[in-house]
Amino acid sequence: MKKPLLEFRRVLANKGSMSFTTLISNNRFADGYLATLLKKTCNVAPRTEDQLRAGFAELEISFQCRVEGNMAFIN
Amino acid sequence: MQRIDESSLGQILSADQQLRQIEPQIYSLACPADTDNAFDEMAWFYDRVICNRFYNRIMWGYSTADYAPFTSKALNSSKDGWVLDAGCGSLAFNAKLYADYSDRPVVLLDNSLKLLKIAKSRLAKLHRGIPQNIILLQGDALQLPFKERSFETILSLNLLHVFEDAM
Repeated sequence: MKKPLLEFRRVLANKGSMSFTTLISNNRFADGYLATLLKKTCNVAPRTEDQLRAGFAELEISFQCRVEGNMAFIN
Repeated sequence: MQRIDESSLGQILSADQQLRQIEPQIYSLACPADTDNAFDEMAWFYDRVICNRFYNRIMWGYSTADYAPFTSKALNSSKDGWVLDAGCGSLAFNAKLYADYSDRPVVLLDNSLKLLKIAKSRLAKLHRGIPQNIILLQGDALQLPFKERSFETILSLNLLHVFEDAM
């Protein structure tokens, strides 16, 4: 996730804005399915909301995050 | 109405990019021998199943109707500058918004040419042709082919979870 975020930040204007949605684990029945899906298609593990927030914070990207089910809406 | 074409797109592309027109308003930066993408093979499945509102409600527990206000807020976050939708896919959720949006130039970027063609078809049906402020571009979100600070607004739906955290 860091690599695309750094790329987005590189091409973003100084006062520009970024918005994302992304699937995360969220203590739902679909968490196992999400893990299997991402492992099989992309060989990655799903993130939790805390991991997602930490990733944005590490890159010093200010954001607001709302989670509904397994979907995180970030802007 | 903002109009963009190959020339105006060239103004925000990095110097080393080789832009090829695939068909009107669809361009590619991929090598001719490398235009196929993993998502091309599952484009139909992706568009009809993965983007289905019932699938998303039942499986992931959210409403795809949430995309419209979310995207609208991003598009209206500024009155000037370019918009980038990275990983736009087939525009299964936002085609209507883009079909009705003419305020700023928009680049719809995806690695899959098949998904871009589905997106173009959707826009064409909704708008009676592709809006002149929109260009569809086949390219890599991990190596964005644009100059620094080219975009005022960046939107990326359902893309980040396919990338690992390691650099």
